[in-house]
Amino acid sequence: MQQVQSGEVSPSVRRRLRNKGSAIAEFAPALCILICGVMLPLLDLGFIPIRYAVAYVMVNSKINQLALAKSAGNARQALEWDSGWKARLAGCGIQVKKSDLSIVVTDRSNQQHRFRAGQKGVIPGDLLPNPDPEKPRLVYRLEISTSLEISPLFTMRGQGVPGLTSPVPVGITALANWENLAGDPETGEFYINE
Amino acid sequence: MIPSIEKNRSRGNILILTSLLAWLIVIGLVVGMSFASLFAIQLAAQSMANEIAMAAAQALNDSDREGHMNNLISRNRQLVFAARETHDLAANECPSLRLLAEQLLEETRDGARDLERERRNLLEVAQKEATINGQQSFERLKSHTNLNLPWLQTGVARMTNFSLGFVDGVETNVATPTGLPVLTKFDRDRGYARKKSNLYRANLNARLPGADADLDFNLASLAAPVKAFASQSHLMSTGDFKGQAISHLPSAVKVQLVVSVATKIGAQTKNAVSVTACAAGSGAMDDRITQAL
Repeated sequence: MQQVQSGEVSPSVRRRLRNKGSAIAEFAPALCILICGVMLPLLDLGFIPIRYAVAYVMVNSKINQLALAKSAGNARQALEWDSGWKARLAGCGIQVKKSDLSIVVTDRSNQQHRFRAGQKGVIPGDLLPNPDPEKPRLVYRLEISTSLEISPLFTMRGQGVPGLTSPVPVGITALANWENLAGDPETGEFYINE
Repeated sequence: MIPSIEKNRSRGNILILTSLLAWLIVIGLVVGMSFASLFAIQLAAQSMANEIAMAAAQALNDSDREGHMNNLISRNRQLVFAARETHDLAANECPSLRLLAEQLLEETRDGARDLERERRNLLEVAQKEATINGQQSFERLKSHTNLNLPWLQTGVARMTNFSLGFVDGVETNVATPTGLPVLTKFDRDRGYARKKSNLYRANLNARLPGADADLDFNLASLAAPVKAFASQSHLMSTGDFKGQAISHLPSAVKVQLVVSVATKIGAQTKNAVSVTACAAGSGAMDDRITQAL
């Protein structure tokens, strides 16, 4: 028995009880600090990589879809007219600020030549497909460059801390092999150069 | 002992909190992994559908057989037209040559019928070979989507659609004849040929006028060479694929695969992932190249 006969509590027991009481009293603010100071900012920040991954997958999926277009002009038109993918990204907290399409031609020396897609006759003749088997085969790819703003879970109006209370600007570039290397008999031009 | 009971109670709280948190983390991970697995399955199915479509499309215009057939039909048509003109001229102006002209005309007409029979054979062969190629690729790849995880089960892929057709907007590889202006004018007036490129329109039965209107001259859609460069087999957008009546030679393939997806965690659910791929066969080769070969 640690209690003394007069009904008073011994000092060691009192100290332990006091400690326990303080632990309970401190638990609530500690939990608040833990949630507000650590958990929520971590959750807020944690959404950035998740949304980046979503944006990366969707931009890649878009370029693979555009690379199947009949002509480079059609691909550009599809990118400009189809706002569905931008709306889907916006639904995930990602705003597409700018997007552009380019044709990337890689020659034998692995040098890359970049041209604006959908501009008629922009690729010079020596970089176009050639039936001559002795001439080197070139690789044609369609490239999308996007400027995005990825929002964290919680955003505040006005100037904020990027990644915590305001969107983070990122750029995503994706490439896909251009499929249709045929020519248009009406114009005599390759579809990739239309 | 009061202190030890309180100690145990505190420990119990922590245990409950920890197990709750652990469950939340596990559920989050399972949901995340399920989505990632679904995405991976969708990618695998799409890649499989692309491969099947390409394998089938490559068989369609193998060795430029469809391009040759279109060229033969067009040349035979010109021959019949010229033979009819000669026959009519001989009958009116030189009756002694009438019999010979008639014989020549009949030979060309017989040639047109033989060619149509051969075209039908080629249609059957091309369809069969494309289907076999597609089926073989499918058999080789179909189990690639089979996944059996405790929280997600995906089945073997099923091919729900395999159809042959052509590419929207691609006309034939055959141009109107330059040596027969009357026939060229007739073709233009009837709207058989495009004005700018002079190529015959896709999937057309270019019947001749007058007594030879009973003969069939079916020209199939096939990409014409441009700057002597023949179009290669390639994947294409599903929006550009057009299914066609079975009477014309096909130049494109559409494949649809369905993969069943199920989960047994919580409520049992079953669903399916569907992917579609289209591919165009190779285009016609330049005549100069085929002659050199």
